[in-house]
Amino acid sequence: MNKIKLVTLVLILLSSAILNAKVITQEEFIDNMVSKHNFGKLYLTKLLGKAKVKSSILKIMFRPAKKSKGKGKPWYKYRKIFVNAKKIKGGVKFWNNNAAVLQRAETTFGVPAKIIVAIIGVETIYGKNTGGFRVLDALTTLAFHYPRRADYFRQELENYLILTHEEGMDPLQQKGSYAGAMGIGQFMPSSFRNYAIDFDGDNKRNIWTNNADAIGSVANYFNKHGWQTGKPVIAATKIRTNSIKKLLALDFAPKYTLQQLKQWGLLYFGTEPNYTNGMIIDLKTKIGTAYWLGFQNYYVITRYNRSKHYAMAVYQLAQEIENAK
Amino acid sequence: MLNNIFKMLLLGFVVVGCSINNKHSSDHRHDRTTTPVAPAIDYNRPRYSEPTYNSPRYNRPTKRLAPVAPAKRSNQPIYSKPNYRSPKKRPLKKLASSSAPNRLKNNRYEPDKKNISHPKYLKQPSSNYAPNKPNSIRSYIAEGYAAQYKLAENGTRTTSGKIYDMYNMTAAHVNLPLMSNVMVKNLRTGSTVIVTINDRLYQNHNKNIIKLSYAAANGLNLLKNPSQLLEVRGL
Repeated sequence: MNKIKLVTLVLILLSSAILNAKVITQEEFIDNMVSKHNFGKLYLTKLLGKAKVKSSILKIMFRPAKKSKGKGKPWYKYRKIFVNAKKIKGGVKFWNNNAAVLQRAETTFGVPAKIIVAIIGVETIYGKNTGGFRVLDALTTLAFHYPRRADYFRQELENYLILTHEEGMDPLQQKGSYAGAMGIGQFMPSSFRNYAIDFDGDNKRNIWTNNADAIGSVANYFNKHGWQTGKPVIAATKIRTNSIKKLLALDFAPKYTLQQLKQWGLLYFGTEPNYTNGMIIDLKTKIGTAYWLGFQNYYVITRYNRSKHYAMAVYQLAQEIENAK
Repeated sequence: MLNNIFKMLLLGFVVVGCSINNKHSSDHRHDRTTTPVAPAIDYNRPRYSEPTYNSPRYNRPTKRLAPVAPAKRSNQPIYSKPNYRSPKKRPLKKLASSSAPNRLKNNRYEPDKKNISHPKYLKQPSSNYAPNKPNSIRSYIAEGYAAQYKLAENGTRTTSGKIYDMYNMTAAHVNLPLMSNVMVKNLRTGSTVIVTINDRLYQNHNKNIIKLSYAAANGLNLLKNPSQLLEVRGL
């Protein structure tokens, strides 16, 4: 018994040591920033000292999948949250209010207006709910107190500090979601630096309150990730029953051509040529599981949020808004 | 002796009869050989031309109808209220076996033919409706029940060539032109959807006037109780 206890103790100590070795503390981060980007050490320590560790954010991150809004839910329950009469009505209103800008975004970036509207609707209910947390608070808590994705959020914090310096903004003022996503389009700091644009000519990338900048940024994001203008997003298909497992085990990206997928058991009746790439999506509806074929444009939507349900909800909301308009 | 005489007489009769018969047949044959009845075939006559009949039956003069005046446009609006009385207002009479014994046939409810309010005897599509005529879509009104696509039909090709997607607002119809829009109304709940007809409904059972996609059926609250009376209007 004693031996076993000893072994467990040693194991626990080892594991904690490994975990501790991985975690980078706030001071190390500051040193890194000073050496890498020439930030003032005193300024950064003061700034991060003002940031609060939000326990409510950690609660959201650690909550079980059942209680979360969309995660872990079957498609027919997920769909109700994002594709409903309220969102469709709001989408039509948003489209009518920003028709000229949306048209300009469609012509310059080749991304249809309905997709931009649907993304903004799903993310922030057309700019109504952009998040109530201070971005600095959210990023510091997740970077130093949430070890599972600490690396990612530390990078975002680094990007955020550079971004506020570049844009001449106060890092304590900006607000965003519990994960640090900012503005009408819910851009993370890294994607803000890479893809946010000024779309109304006032030399400011204001994605918090300026609809034009937000619309242009979303369109630019899709354009840079390889949106194919005029190409389909998804199409319903059938699959041979004995090859469902094999096809669903493939990567979540349009890696394979229709020719290959058809050889492996896809029954697609559309007019797309055999050399187009596709991926297979399965969704649980109320009456059973149905299958769709996602093309490059579907994959581009998943770049915004890596979830098959999310991309499908965006596409269907876009279709509904276009029909209702 | 008498017997012998009788026999002889009989023989004589038979011989005479035979001879008469023979004579007759021989005469006939003789006639045919002299005057042939079968006409010679005229190979110069064009084939498949109409045969000429001399009998008076085919030359009977046909009755000429009076010229019909072209129909004038009526001032009535295109949209007319359907001749429909909702079954809620006038509920069917209760099944009283003593008063109406013929209503139950083979354990199946047979509505009384006099009871016009029953949907079975409602007005059929109006007579001014003609298929394959795009102007007539607007005057199309019909009432009846709807069939629904199955789950396995998701991803199959429709008659119009487009793929059936269960989340699209589409429908199949017997003869309305493809890609035309119709408004479908649930007469019990009042909810409406607009669907595009992109498929043909081949199995036109008497009670199904339209076949709805999953999304359209969901919009009309037909998923739990599919047998609800609908109204289909052309747009």
